[in-house]
Amino acid sequence: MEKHKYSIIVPTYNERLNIALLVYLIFKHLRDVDFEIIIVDDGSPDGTQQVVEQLQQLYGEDRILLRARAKKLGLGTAYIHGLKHASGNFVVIMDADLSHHPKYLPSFIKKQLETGASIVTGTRYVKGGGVHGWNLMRKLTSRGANVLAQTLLWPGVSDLTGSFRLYRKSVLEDIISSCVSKGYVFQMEMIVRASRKGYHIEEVPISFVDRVYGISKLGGSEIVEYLKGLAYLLVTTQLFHFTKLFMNCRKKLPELSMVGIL
Amino acid sequence: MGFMGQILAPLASIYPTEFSFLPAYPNEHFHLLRSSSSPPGNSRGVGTLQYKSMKHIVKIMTLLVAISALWIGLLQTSIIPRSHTWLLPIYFIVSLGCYGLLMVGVGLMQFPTCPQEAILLQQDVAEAKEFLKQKGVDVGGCD
Repeated sequence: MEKHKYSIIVPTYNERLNIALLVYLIFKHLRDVDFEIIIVDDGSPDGTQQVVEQLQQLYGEDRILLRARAKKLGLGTAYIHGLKHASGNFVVIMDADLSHHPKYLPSFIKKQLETGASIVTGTRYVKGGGVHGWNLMRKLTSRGANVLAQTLLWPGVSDLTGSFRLYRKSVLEDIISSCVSKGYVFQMEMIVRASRKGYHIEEVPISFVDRVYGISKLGGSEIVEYLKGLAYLLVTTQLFHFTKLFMNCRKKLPELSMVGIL
Repeated sequence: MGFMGQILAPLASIYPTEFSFLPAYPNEHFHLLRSSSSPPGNSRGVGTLQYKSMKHIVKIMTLLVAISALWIGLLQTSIIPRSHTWLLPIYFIVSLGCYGLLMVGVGLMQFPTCPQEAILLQQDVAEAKEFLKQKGVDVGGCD
């Protein structure tokens, strides 16, 4: 059997405490697995990078890679940046704020090995998963967003906006290049496009404990951004299919288009 | 899977090959994938991939055809008064909206929560801090 290596990409911004805790927990829960942690820090002013350097001293520079960028440049590009330095054949993407607990990593890996899936995504909305620390408004928005996206996009995945996922590296490289959205919508776009491209996607339940340190942000502008993103995905992944099919029909079956003209 | 997907899943599985007369769906990703991610010699994966992309189109087409056939049928046969049949698309959209609201409501009621996880996380955090402090990693300050 071929040996798998997992590259865990963690984008950070002002996460000096969380990143240390996260790294400890990853090492605690991934014992017999070959992995590396790639921390993409967007020039945090709080000294996140100094803490990462201390962690490198402790765990080794080959296990923890610091790939910093000069300033805040967004999530999508952070993944691309981290991906360039990844040496594993699988990539895990997770948040640094401990809302994604490393104890679920073994179940992601196990699921992938069992099913041979290209993507394993964590879902909060099934039995065994869950959310903690959300108020009613947050739950309502989340539910509404989910129902809307499920009805319009048929993604075949229960949790679209979660970002705790395991990807086959080549698959992530393939889909990330065709994604243009930002923030929440970016996560959704990745999984919807992967689903459309026919990649095998599996789910594992995760719990999501909302930011232990720090404030979560979800305002009116996020909702507007979400709706815009949804409309964009609807056009590019659902309706666009038709245009393509129609064009192809005409190319392949000229007699059919003749009938159409007549 | 969404509402329409649920309706169509059985249809698509009954007629998986029925639509093979349609030209192969142009899938440029599939070439990309063959060169990058499929292990060499694995032609099965590529086939499934193309089939899956096809299936999505089949789903959309079947849905549209079924709905318009039903509507046109009702218009033609005039089982119910024509004026009502003309309004049918509006009813359809309204009922879709009702379905959405219902699903949001049901989802809210059954929202899975995990208060015990927060406690477990606190324990993990305390344990991690203890360990890191011993090893000389700077974890004080911002809590």
